[in-house]
Amino acid sequence: MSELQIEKPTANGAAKAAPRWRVTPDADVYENEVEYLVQLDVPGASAESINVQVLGTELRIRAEQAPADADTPVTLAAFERQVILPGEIDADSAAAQLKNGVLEIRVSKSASSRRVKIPVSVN
Amino acid sequence: MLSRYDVLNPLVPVWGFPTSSGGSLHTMLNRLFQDVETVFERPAVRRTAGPRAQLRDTGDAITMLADLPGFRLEDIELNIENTTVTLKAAAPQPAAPEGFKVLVRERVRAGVDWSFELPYPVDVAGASAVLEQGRLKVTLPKAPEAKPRNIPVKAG
Repeated sequence: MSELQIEKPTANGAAKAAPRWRVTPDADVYENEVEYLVQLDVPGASAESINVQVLGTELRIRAEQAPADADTPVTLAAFERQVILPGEIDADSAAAQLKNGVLEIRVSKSASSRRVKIPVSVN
Repeated sequence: MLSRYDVLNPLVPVWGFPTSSGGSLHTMLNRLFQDVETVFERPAVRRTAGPRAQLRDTGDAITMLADLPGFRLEDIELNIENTTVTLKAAAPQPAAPEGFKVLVRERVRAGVDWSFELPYPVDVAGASAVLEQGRLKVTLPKAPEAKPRNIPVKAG
């Protein structure tokens, strides 16, 4: 019987940091005349953990799941995703909203990448 | 029945010297395969089209976390019958937001139809479920007979 190893209880998770599990969330990208709309699945993410960076035409999105309980040592997900938009954007216009675990980012197209209709005058 | 130690080290009883009490190599091999079969036939958690989920035994209760992004409260149906938990959620593929054109569509919003067996009976009346930002948290208190109990030891 001396060979049997007894597993130490791991129930005391308070001291143990919750491990983070890297997830690349799926994204939907939409556009209209004036802006791009990006939707990402980030279930359980806390609003304060969401970080959206704009680098040229690229969006870098990071978010982390909030612990369900203070003492729950479950594996939490860390979401990380890069989305490259097809045209120039106006970085200052970016706005994000979290609804039902779906992050929605709206960012305006820059004036140079908008499709402009040029009026033609006839003499 | 093999002990846990033997299952972890199955070659020890098979390839060691036959002992007087152990029987022939043939019977030992048969016994080993029977034991392996019982291990694999044990009903385990059954998954069918399930979401990303975690189950945890907290001593007095079982907690489940399931990721259901974009699902509304009215889409979700959670059912417990004896020790079978069934989670169903219907989600139609959303149309593009009004006035927008689709550039990329990766998010799959298939419905969820998932059921699994709990290892212990639970107190269904005390169960609770909360949907918070696309994450469902279900707390299922164990039935009184399944809760851990301390047995006081007296000096004889």
